[in-house]
Amino acid sequence: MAGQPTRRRVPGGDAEGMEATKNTQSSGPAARPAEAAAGRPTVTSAPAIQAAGLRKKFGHVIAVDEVSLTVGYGRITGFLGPNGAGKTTTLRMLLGLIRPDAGTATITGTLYPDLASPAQTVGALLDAAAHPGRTGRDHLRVLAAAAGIPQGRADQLLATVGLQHAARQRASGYSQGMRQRLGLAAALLGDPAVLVLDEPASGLDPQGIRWLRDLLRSLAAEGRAVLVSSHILAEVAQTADDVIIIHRGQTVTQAPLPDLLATRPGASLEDIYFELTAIPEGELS
Amino acid sequence: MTRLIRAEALRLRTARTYWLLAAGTIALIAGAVAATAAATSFTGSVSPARQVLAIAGLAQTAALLAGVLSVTGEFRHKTITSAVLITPRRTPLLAAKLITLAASGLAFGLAATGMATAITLPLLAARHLPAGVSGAGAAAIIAGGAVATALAAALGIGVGAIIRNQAGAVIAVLALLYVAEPLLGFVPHLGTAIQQYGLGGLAAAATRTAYYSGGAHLLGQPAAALVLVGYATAALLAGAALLRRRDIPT
Repeated sequence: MAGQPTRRRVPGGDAEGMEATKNTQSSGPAARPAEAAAGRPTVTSAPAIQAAGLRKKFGHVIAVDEVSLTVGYGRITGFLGPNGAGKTTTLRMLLGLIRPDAGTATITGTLYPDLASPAQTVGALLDAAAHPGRTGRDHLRVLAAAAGIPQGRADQLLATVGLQHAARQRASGYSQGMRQRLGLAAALLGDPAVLVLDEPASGLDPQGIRWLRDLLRSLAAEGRAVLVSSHILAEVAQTADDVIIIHRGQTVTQAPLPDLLATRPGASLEDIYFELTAIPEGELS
Repeated sequence: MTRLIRAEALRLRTARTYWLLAAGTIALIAGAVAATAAATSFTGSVSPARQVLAIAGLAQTAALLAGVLSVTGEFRHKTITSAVLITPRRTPLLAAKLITLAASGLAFGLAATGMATAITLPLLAARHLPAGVSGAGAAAIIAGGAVATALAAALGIGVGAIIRNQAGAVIAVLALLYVAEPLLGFVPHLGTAIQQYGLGGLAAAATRTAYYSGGAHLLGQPAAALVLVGYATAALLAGAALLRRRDIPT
């Protein structure tokens, strides 16, 4: 599952100061110490992310019915589905924010709340939220302090995501795209081997989308697992190695993108997506 | 835990809200205390100094609101998501807020009550009015102010964890303090209990200042502080249980 070893660095990552905080998660016999020592993320033998039979009801509404998925290291996994399919609820269950009614989700083989150093294991972009009265830099510094990450990492990541000019500006003045970039910086704080990103491209301009694509590719090339939900099918078709499609709270397909495309010669990802997420006639409301 | 406290302290320091709240409260207390000490003709059995220094009780209201804001702000601005992602065990997260806000409340209460005392006593002396408190009495007022303000912040955190909606929590707290308690204080029989065990009466007793004219039905200073500890503990335990149980909303 893991990608080919490369020596590309994570943009802006791996400063000397990070040596103390990285590679702290499970480094059992199955881990790959040689690569970790070369500044690569520690990769576990267990899948980066694994969910089985996830189910969640909010009141009478079944948000997630039966979602199972596996996300491997060194790959970008596109997570697709119409609005209301249960993508965000699933991502939040993976991360211990929402308690599933049934099923389990593990990250590097461990339930999220049991992770020894969550920020150094998983980075997540969910709400792209910051307190409007706090500067972007202070926002990252607060998170770094809570995660035991050196404060200098905040400035480094602001440069990585192209926000150094707005570092000391209050987040209330940030555009949606700038908030996404700040959220990505927050996700990368702990130099994690697993990334979970909920619609990271929303609000980004074309330059931003290209920058994001390159960033995600280099993160995956580093050996990291990248799970990214998106509505932009053309973007996923260009970027993703694996695709998971959910519809009405259920996983309808999970496959490497080339395999999925091979099932319908001549069809695009979009064609296959619409076929899999079609609502049967008579059920249109 | 040290990291979490460091993060909370940074969170507190880097948001303007708390600085504005503190500065506004200090300015209000200073102005109101000075005006009252300089111009009021004091009546009733309570000493003039204790009547004036009741105004410094505003510090406890501010701390209660700061506690409420520190939790509900995380939900309002959705920063609770990143906080819980970094600290999936939610009780320590609340504990770090409690320690940080209570320590800040202690310092703030000490400063606010100390400043109010430093304004009141010279002004009363200049008017040749007997302050009616000894040096030890003034020290007890200032110490009580510090402790009551710290406890108010702790109570606010518990309330914020129970009522996560910021507007709802702020309105609930203000309505209790400034509408429900004063009104119910007039109800026969029930009134006495409200004066003794309501937040206003407890704060007055814990700071040994006058809240109700006459100041008759207040608890002793240690007893009042203990009842406040009880309220804060109950709210924090309920808040922690709810925080652990509830999903973190989008």
